[in-house]
Parts: sequence; C-alpha cells; structure tokens
Amino acid sequence: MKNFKLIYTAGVILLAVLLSLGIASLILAVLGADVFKTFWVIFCYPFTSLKNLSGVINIMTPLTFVGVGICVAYRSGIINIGGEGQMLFGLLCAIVFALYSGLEGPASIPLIMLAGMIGGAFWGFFPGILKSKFGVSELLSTVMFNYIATQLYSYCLRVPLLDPAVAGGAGDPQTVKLAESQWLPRINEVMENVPKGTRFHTGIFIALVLAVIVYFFMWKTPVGFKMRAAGASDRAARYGGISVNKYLVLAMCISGACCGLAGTVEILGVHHRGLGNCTGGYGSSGIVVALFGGLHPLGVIPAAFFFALISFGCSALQINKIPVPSNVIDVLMGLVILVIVAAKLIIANPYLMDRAQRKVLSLLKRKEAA
Amino acid sequence: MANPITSLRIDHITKRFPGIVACSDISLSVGKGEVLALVGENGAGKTTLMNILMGLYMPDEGKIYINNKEVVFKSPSDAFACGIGMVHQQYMLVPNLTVTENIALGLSQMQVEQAGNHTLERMKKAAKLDLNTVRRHIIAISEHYGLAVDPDAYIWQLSVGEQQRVELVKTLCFGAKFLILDEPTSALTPQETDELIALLKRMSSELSIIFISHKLAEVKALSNKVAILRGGKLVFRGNTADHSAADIAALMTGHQVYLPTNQNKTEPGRPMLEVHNLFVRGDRGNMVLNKLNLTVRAGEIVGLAGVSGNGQRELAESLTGLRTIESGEVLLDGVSLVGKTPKQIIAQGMGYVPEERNIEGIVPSMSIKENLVLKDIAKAPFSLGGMLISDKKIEENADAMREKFDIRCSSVNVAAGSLSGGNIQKVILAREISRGPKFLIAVYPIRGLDLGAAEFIHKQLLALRDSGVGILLISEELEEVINLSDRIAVIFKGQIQRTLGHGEATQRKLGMMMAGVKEI
Repeated sequence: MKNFKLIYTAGVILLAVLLSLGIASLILAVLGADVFKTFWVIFCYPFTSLKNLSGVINIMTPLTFVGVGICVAYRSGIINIGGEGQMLFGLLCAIVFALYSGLEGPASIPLIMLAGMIGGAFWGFFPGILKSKFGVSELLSTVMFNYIATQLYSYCLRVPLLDPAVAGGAGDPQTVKLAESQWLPRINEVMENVPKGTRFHTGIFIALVLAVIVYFFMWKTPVGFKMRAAGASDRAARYGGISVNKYLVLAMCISGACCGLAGTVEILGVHHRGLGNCTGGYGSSGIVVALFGGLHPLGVIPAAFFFALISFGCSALQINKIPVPSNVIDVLMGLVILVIVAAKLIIANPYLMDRAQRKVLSLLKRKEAA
Repeated sequence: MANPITSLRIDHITKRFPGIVACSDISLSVGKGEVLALVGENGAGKTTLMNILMGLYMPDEGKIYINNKEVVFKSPSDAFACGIGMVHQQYMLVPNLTVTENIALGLSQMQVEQAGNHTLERMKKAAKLDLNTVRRHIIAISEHYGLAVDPDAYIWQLSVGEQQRVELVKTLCFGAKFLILDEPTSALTPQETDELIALLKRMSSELSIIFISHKLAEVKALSNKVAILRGGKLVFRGNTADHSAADIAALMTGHQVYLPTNQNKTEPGRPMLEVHNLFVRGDRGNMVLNKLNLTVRAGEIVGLAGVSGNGQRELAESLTGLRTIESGEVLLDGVSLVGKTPKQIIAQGMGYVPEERNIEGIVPSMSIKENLVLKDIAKAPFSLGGMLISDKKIEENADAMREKFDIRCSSVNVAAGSLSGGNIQKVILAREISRGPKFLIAVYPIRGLDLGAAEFIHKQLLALRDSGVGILLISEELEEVINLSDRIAVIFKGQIQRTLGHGEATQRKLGMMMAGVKEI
C-alpha cells in the first residue's frame, strides 16, 4: 500500500479530467456543436504544426513574466492584482524610450527592456509604499492604478504618440512602428537549423531565464528569505528583526518590473508598436497562472504553457469553423481551471486521502474474506 | 429540555488521524455529581476525546452511552440536545455585542432547531428575538449558581475571567447538564483561578464536570476522579484523593518530574539591562508604562510578576524596539536602545521569547531549519558573503539544535507550525540561546505547555543564567516566578510596585501585590 498516494493522486486527476470533460461535453452538446471535434481543436490542434506551437509559445511568454512577478509579490505578503497597469506603464516607457532615445540596433534591445522594467517597477512602487506607510489595501490601490494606467496609455496613444498615418480618424489609434533593428528576433531569424514554421519570438528564453533567476533570488539569497518570511508571517518577521515594510515595497517593485517586462517583450516581439489592446489581458490571467503554478516561479512555467495551450486552442475554434460562441470558450476555460484547482485541493488534503485509504483497505479485506 | 444526566460512559473509543492514532481504545465513565479531571501532555489526545464527546468528530470505533443508552452525535447540536455543554479554551463571543445578545445568538438558533421540521414554526422562532426573556433567564441562572454576570455589559468591557463566566452562563442557558471545560484556567490570573475552582466545586453538586488541565494543583483541588492520557492511550484511572500530585505528574510524562529551581549558585555581575523612567503608550494611545524603573544584572533572573494587561507586553515590546519609547532611557550593557530598530537591538545581543509563540516567535509555514536561522540568515556561515544561502550549513545547524534542544519532529524540513507548543518553544529557545545573547526576555515561556516541556525550558533558562546572561522573566505563574527568579519585581499599572529578594516572596504576598497592595 506504499504506492497508495500515487494511485490516489492519479485517480483524483483522472476523475477531475473526466468530470470537466463531462460537463464541457454537456454544454457543447446543448449548443449543438460537435463535441469530439471541439476537444480535438482545443487540446490537439495546437500540436499539429510548428506554426501553431509557436503561437502557443508566444502566448506563454507574457504569461510566464506576469506569473513570476505575481509570485514574488504574493510570497512577500502583498497581492498584486495590478499586473495590467504595470504592463501598460512599462510598455509605455519602453515605447517612448525606443522611439525617442535615438538608439537603434540589437544593443538597444536590453536598454528598452530596462526602461520597461523601470516603468513597471515605478507603477508597482506606489501601491507598495501606500500599503507600508498608510496601510492602504493593495487590492484597492493596484486596481485604481490599473485604471490610471489604462487612461494614461489611451491618451498617449491618441495624442502625443499617435501615428500620423492614422491621424484624422481613420483606423484604430496606434504609435508608429519601432525600428526593425529594435524588434526581438524570431527564432528562425537567429537560428538556422530550426525546422520550417518555427517562428516564435525569442522572448520565451528571457522569460525562462527570469523564472530561474527569480526562483534563485527568492530561495537562495538572504533578501529573498526575508521577503518570504515577511510574507508568511509579518509579525514573526518583525519580531525577528526584519523590516517588513521595506521588503514589501521591494517586492512590489520587483513584481511590477516583471509585469513591465511582460508588456515590453510583447511590444518588441509581437506588435512592434503600441496598439489599443496590446496587453491581451495577460496582466490578469497571469494571476491565475501564478496561483495555478503553486505560487512558485518554476511552477509558473508549466502552468503558463498549459494556459497558453487552452487559450490558443479556444481561439482556434473559429478558424476551424466550429460554431461555438466565443463567450462559451471562456466558460470552458473557467471550467477546466476550476476542476483542476479543486483536484489540487483534494490531493493536498491528507484527511481525505487517509479516509479513502482505509475504505479501500477494508474493501480489500472483505474481498479476501469472501 | 434534556433529562438529567446520571451517568455518561464512553466505551472503547478509537479515533485515527493521518499518520497517528489520536485516541486508542479509551473507556471512561462519569457519574452524577462527579468531577473528572482529564490530564495528559500536549498531544495526548484529550481535546480529540472531548471533541468526540461534543459531536465535532465521529469516533472510528467505540460507543458513547448516556444514562446507559447508546447515543450517536453527528454534530454539536446533537450533543447539546442531550445536555452536554463545552467551554472551549478560546472563548467564542462577539466582542461588540452585550452578554445578553451573545447568549441570545446561540439560544435563538437552538430554539429554531427545536422547532423541528415545521417550516412555519422555524421561521416564527427565527424572526422573534425576545431579549427580555433571555435576560431574565441569564439572571436566574447566574443567581442560581452564584455566577456574577452583568447581562448588559459589552464583551469587550469584560476581563478574561468575566468572559469565561459568560461562557459558562451561556452553556448553562443552553440547558447543559454536563459540562466539559478545556483548560479553563489557562488564561486566568491566580485570583480568578481560585474563584473559578470554588465556583465549579459548588456547581458540581448539581452537574457532572469533565475538565482538562495541565495544572496538578487544580486537579487535586477540584476533581474526585482523575484519568491520565499518554500518547492517545488511557494509562491511569483512579480517585484523585488516593494519589499525590507527584504521582500524577510521573504517570502523565512517563518519568519522575522535578521542576528545577534557582539555587543561586553564582553571584550576579554588572548591570546588563537598565531601565530608567520609562514611558510607553499602549495600542489605544494611553500611557501604559508610567515611569518604570528596573535593573537586571548579568547572571541574574528577574521575574516580573503581574496580572496580564499591566504593561508587561508593552515593556517587552519597547525593550526589543517593536514599540516606540515615549521618554526614558533603556541601556543594554551600557548602550542606549532608545530609537533603535529591532534589527539593531538584536545585533546588540538582545534575545526574545515572545508571548505568542505561534505568530510572533516563528513563521509557521516555514520549515524548522529556516526558523532556526530567522535572525541570522544574512550572516556567515548561513550565507556566503551575505549573498548566497548555504542549505548545507542551515541543515547542519538544525540537526545540531534538534539534538541539543530535544526538538521532537519527523524532520527539520517540516513546517514549524505543525509542531506542538512545547516543541515550538524549544525551536525559539534554541534560536535565541544559540545566538549567544547578552540578555534574554522571556514572556510567559511555559504558558500552555505540559510538564515535560516546562521542565526542559526551565532547565535551559537556569543554565543560561548560570552562564552569565541576564534574563527578564515575565510571567503570571507565581510558582514559576518564585522557582526561577533571583529577584522578583511586581508590576502594577505600568510601574514596578516593589522588588522582592529570593527568600522574601511567597505566593500570597505576590498575589496581593499584583492586585495593587503596596505594603504588606
């Protein structure tokens, strides 16, 4: 019975998958869609070509950045739901720097990223300092800062940074394109031997490296240790001589910098200019990714991949001519996530497992007796 | 209302939790008018057993009989309905409601339950909140049992002892015929404890009582039967009068217990901590320490006795930099601590065993080994050059501490919050002592701990004293203060009432001084 934990875990996961598929099938069947084909598109279609897989990786990149940033804040005892605002302000700073610094060429890319990180950190600094100095709830301040960033960005896009080509009311507001030498190259542009169709941009490598660095920082350095202690129990940390307020602000700055970088990489790698909706909502979905990844920077990587997979698959439903309304796609995504979170809770509960084990044992005994 | 309970019997009860058997084949019985003391160390299974009796847990095996009839409690309301009432260690009262309102809260719910399945009746009962009837009921009960309770007082206005009386009245108002008290004296002052014991003795003529306790003096004073649990098993059952406190202690821990006392072997040295004219504000902005003066020398334990709430907490916090000092001077080995941050004060050699060990002493979700280096993580050898944590050194340190301080855990990697109170206190002491402090402030170091752990902690404190560290021991337990201290200072309303030498102090004298009597 040593393997019981393994069997139990596998059983719960299997049950969760079956349950979520069952409910989803029911919804799809009611809508009159082809159930099997829908699932195939969501879970298998992304793997059918390298082009599709590249699309998944491009979605995974910003999710990883934001997810890692949220982890830092959460572990330090502050819930950052201002990822959207920090992304926007970060990418705004990056665009301004890219367009007006006069620097071009590949060497300018790290500097543009730095500008984006500073912007994001700046936007995270305020909720941090408000909480540490005045006890303002970060739930309130980060959301308010999202609104401010959204309106500020919208104004910049329409007035000072407006592309002359769309001035006069034709088309959506956007900035001018960044110089091509400032773009993050695609993988097939920097590596010659990749198979044809592999075209994700190189931001993913930065994201993976960042996740490892942040893990290292939080778990292997004294500063990270203190931040985690402050987050886990601020009173015990204070009694232990750790200045909780200082680390709170630092955590928000780091978290903001990660989100700012997410926005910047999205601009440099995908859009190549400022657009109306260039955060893609990643600032919010990154929170789910972080929780999903167990609030651990390395756990965020698979979580972000899974999330990107579903979201790519769902968006591909339209292309594959499956008549499912796009709102239902959100319902399906929410359903899958809920079931997985529930399964994780059940697996983590030793009482339930113990009960199951004893039930199974007594059943086995009864069988032997019979 | 339930019938009177003439006998309660639990028969071969077993309850398992993942990895442990909390109660193993326990049988007990309590007759009419009897008081059973249930004693045992932390984790012996006392609370689990009582929670089964209250319907909070279902036993895996075994049965409960009331008046020789089997009963099955599926929820606490089943147990209430049979007349069993429990007063928990933590009081369950709403602070900004009055006594009457608090009791009415539970009572109206009970009436709704009693209305049965008739929906209309239930709604009628639920809609009607007859506070006057409840108030009369409270007065009747408190007069009947001699429980002085003001039905119109707000809970936040009451002292801990008064709140406990409210809990008792509440339980009795619900129709309890059988009382279960979980460590009823753990938060009470010595005077309040005496009052409670007298009260329970009177009540035991009409009710049966089971009470859980660590304190053998109370067991002797109150109970006529005693049951001892150890490691989930019933190891002893008998009449209290036939056995001495020392016998019971030995059965409880499994070995003879000698609470160590201060032998005054070494002479105290130079003044280590000097407090002059200290003024400090409390959380509500009022002055809590009023011109407090105190000196503790190296190699000396000064016991600070006092009823809690007289400024002990604020004193400890201001000495460790956690609370702003309004005016006055604090010197640690000649260096002023006024205006310093906790970090600077720790660096000066201040050690601290805080009052609430679970939330102030340790980070519960972090591992034991991490908690052991909480204050020194940025220093060698635990991190190289202040930049890189050395897991190996942290692990080695934890293994050494675990050995030296007898920290009982399955591994030093488990969360510190999963340990028992005694082991958490050992982790904190291990950290503070191994840092080589000049001075140690220990606040209620054995509160809620069992005898075995208390013995260990006291030995450590005395050894630390003998090695030349100055110790300020803040406690309400007079026995603890008298046993350990070289001198005893009594704090009352933010001032040191008087300081007594080792031989001068008696429990009676201290008790009166703690209540504000200056000259005896």
